[in-house]
Amino acid sequence: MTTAIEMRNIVKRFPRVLANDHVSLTVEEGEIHSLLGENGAGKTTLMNILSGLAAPDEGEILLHGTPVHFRSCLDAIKHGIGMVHQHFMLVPVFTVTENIILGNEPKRGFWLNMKQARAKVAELSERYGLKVDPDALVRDIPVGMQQRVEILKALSRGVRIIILDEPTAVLTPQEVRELYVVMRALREAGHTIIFITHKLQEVEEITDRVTVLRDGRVMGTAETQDVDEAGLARMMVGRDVVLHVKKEKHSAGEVRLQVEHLFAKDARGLPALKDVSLEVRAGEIVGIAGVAGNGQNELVEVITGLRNKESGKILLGDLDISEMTPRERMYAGLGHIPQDRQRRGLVMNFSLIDNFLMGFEDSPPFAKGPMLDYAEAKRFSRESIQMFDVRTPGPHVLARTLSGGNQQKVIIAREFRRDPAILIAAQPTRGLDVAAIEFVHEGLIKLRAQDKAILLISMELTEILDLSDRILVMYEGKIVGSFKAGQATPEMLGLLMAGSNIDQAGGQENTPTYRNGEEGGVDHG
Amino acid sequence: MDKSKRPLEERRFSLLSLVSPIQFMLGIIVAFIAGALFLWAFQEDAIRAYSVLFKGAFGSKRYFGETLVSTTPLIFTGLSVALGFHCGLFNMGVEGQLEFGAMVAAYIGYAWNMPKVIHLPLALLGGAVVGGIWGAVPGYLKAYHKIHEVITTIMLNYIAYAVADYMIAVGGPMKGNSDLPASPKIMATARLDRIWPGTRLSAGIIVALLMAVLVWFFIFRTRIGYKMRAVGFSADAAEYAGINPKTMTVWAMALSGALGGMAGAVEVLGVHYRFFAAFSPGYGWDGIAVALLGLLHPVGVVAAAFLLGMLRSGSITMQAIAGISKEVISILTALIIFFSATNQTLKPMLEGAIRKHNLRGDEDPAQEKKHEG
Amino acid sequence: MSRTNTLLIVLVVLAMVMAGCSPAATPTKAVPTAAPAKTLSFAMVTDQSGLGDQAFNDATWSGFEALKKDFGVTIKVVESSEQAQYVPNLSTLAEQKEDMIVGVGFLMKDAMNEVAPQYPNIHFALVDSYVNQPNVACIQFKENEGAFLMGAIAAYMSKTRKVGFVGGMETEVVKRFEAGYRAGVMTVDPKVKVLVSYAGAFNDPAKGKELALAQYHQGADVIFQVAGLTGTGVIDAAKETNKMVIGVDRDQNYLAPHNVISSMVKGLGKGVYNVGKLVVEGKFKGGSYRYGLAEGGVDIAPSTSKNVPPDILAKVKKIKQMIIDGKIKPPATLDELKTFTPPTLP
Repeated sequence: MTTAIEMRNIVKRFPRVLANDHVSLTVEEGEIHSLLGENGAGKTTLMNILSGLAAPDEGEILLHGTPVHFRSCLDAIKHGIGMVHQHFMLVPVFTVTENIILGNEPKRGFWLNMKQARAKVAELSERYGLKVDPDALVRDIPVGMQQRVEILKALSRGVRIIILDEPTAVLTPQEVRELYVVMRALREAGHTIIFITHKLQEVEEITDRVTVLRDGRVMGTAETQDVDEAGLARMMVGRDVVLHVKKEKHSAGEVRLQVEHLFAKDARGLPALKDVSLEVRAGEIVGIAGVAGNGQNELVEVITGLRNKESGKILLGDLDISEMTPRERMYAGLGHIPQDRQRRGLVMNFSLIDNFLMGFEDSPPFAKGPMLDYAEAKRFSRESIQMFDVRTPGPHVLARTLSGGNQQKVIIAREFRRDPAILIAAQPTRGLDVAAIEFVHEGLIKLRAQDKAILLISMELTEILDLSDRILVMYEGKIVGSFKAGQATPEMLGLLMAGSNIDQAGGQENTPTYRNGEEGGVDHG
Repeated sequence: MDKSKRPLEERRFSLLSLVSPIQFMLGIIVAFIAGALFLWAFQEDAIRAYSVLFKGAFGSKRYFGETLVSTTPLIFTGLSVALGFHCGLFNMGVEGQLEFGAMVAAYIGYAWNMPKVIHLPLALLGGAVVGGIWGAVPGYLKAYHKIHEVITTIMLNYIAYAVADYMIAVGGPMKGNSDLPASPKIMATARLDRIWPGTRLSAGIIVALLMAVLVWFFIFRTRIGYKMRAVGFSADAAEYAGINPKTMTVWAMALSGALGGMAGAVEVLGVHYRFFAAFSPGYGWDGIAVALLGLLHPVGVVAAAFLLGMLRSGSITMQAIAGISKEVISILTALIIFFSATNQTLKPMLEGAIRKHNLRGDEDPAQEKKHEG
Repeated sequence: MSRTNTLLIVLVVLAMVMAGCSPAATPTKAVPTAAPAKTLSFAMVTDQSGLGDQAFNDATWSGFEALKKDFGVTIKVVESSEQAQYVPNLSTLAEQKEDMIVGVGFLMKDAMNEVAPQYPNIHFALVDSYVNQPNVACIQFKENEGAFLMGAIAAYMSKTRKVGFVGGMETEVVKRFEAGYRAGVMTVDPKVKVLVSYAGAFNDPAKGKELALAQYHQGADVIFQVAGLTGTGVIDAAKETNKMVIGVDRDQNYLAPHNVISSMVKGLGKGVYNVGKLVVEGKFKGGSYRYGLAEGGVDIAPSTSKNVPPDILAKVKKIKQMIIDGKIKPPATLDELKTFTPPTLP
């Protein structure tokens, strides 16, 4: 094997951070090389430098042994290096073909040669098994296909070294499998892939070699087969990490949250919840698995009062909260970790003190007549910051200056301190790194031990499988499966999430319809 | 709080809290330099122009009084706009609210007869209440019908202008007996006392400063102020925390309108003693500049109102003494306001400088980095 | 009171700080005015229209320019962009100890009443309105004299023996026009009928047009408009129906060269010039100054010769001379009109 890329002693400084501190990286021709690290470790910065998006302050890049300087992305692409970003850069109202040829259009005189363009797309698509519909509008196709379009776009420009920035973050388990197939095909064809991730399991599954970054420095490079997940986690975080939280056996108590025949519409007025019923008991974590956009968001919003229901009932113990305001539900004992912490969970331009106050501002000891007792609020914030180990210079800083993990800690601290009887946790670990995930998981398990009822919504199957006592699968606004912990496998859940019936997939025993409390059923409807 | 007991991290904040005042002052300095360059480009003697400007604003008791007379309504309109901003609302309708406040205060002032202790507060309150109602209308439309307040408030301004014109036109319900298109003069019992002999300065300035304190207290220390700020920064997050963004929107516009109404009332009760055609010389529009210049903080609003008041009164002497044409002065004032508003861009620079200073100090740089994320 | 003072001190300090930060901080230094000692300095405060309005303000300013030319006085103007500025503009100039301060327009009445008593040693003048202040010269015009001539022209020119009058607002000044006009018509031919309408506003051309069309429809073929901006609607109506119309304040012939047969022009510059001359001569006194045909305060527009036949114009000029000679006394109010007996013309 020959060396494709060598980056030597790359240094990149940002105003207050040393993002890359003398980073050296060698990538061999035709390998899948993983760049592993926590959020903020400097992975993306390093790859932005390699793809010409940013210039290094120090250090050099050698491409096939020759020093290169990229002045722009286009420059890097000309040298055969292309990057597929986390957020796709596609034009939603253009077709797949139009997006792929954008900026590189085959011309026939003044006019675009669409016929030639389509043929080229079809050929590339065929060769690497990248299935796309060349005439569909990008806004109409699923995320997984959009990603394939991005990869095709890079390939169509003759890119030989492809950088994928956290490509699995937006995909369903099935789509992840398909991506792996594509990656292997590309490797077979002699392409080199740099794969940015913070998920250990993916590294183990797909990569040949791995380089771990921490705080902008290289912790080491290894052949993937020589290292295990625990070892990688230690390199990433700098200490031993509990990757799969251990939970004590805990028996569920009385029913705390009961949802009956809930119907609701989404923001566009289309049916989003179609007869959803579920219950959560004290001391139990119920996990809802599902691909994003199948009604989980609407379910959470209807339960917490942020969205109107069409019909159905929501009970907190014996109390019907269906018609209550969000504030009344909160007072009735409903806690909520929202899935979008920057939009819902926090006021980004508020100080931490003001953020900790949210929902408490009308209750003692903070409310003093029409006034707020800020001394009390400050004390409360300090306490919370300490209890939940929020890394911040102080309670006065704005929420937006904190890292994602610390922002999430603020929300969790606030919701936990509300001491809710029922907690709705929507995507509580989305975008968090290993250490922060560990913290959140332990917190949820602790609540469970305190006999709280927890409804966990997550796109991460491992999270659902690790934490839940019972697992429900949502698909197109319905609950299509229910399992006890230990009964479900990722494959079974994955298929249900994608809308298949389990018997087609592998002959699971099933009962005709799903009802509350009955486990192991699949809805055929 | 005892300073010595405050943890290290808190002390840094006292430094950071200097950012806004420095920002404000730097913005003004930049603005005056830009203005000077402009004057030189027009072959005017900038040093002389500015010295005349300052003379006209501070040079005599009478001049300084006039500066404060112009400052007074600008404090109200600046507070009005700033309060709206804190709830995420852009109240462009202060002009209309001011017209209504002035109209009602004038009416109560000339048509009713009662002792001063009741008459004056009632006229002031009447102006505030009607201004508040006029402001609540776009608030309601925004909250419950999703009609953008910028559009509705501007439209309502034109209605207010038309109503005002009708009121004092010949045969209009508020037309006084004289030739002037104006209401009758208000009674002595409804007038704000002149507090500085030899000037036109009335007790209105005291009311204005009092309102600045009250608005500060309201926004930053009360529960409803807190909720408004939450809605202003993120209606979604506020809703999640059980705050009703709709109610807050209506209230914020009503209170903003009430401040606009008070601006008009104080002009009538303290300066002109009557309502007349084309009443507001654009105090409502200037309020937007005052609020932005003052970085939406009541103290900043008072300072910015003073700056604009100074430009207003100083520009008269620039015409009268330096002989600079009205148009050049208008451009100069607009330039100064524009460049003062560039103070927004200075903030990251200043904060960066302070952080750097702190890094060199006793702080642990690693701690800094973590918080950045 | 002590709290007020504290507040003021705070504000003064703030002002000092701001002044200190400016590149040109010499607020207390006296600024030399352009005028050397002993040269008189006259100042004018415009109304909202400002200079360049082709009317009141420009006309007054022409008087200032004549004063500068003839007596070498320094002249300056402060333009008001809004009504709220009248008082500060007048008082700023008073602080400067100008030798004469002229306020233009009747809207400045309130402001003059407020400022003049505070500066009893300053000479003020107010154009087109009256205030009872000892140091204010109120420059007004004998509009009735000019209007009388317009009435004569209308009566001579009318073929239908019906003429019209459209006024802006029913103010004292406009009524003076009406009285003079009607007396002029009556003097030429008592049988000519005068239709009178008021628009209720000076800035409503649509209303002016509507009223004028109504009068033309009723048979009038000449209308005298005294209605400011409203009057442009009247002229419009004349153009549309191809009837005759008479303008006001300045020569309005250019608005409709074939329809505007004459205009009654006001000599604003002349009035200001006369008062300014009194100041120069040290003879200034407050009170009412009325300028008529004799003083050139009002007159017939030069363009009249374009549409009015020479024989009629000659007759009108004779009437003018009779008024100057005091042989005819045009009524200044409608009450005086009632007792007015038309003189016999030669």
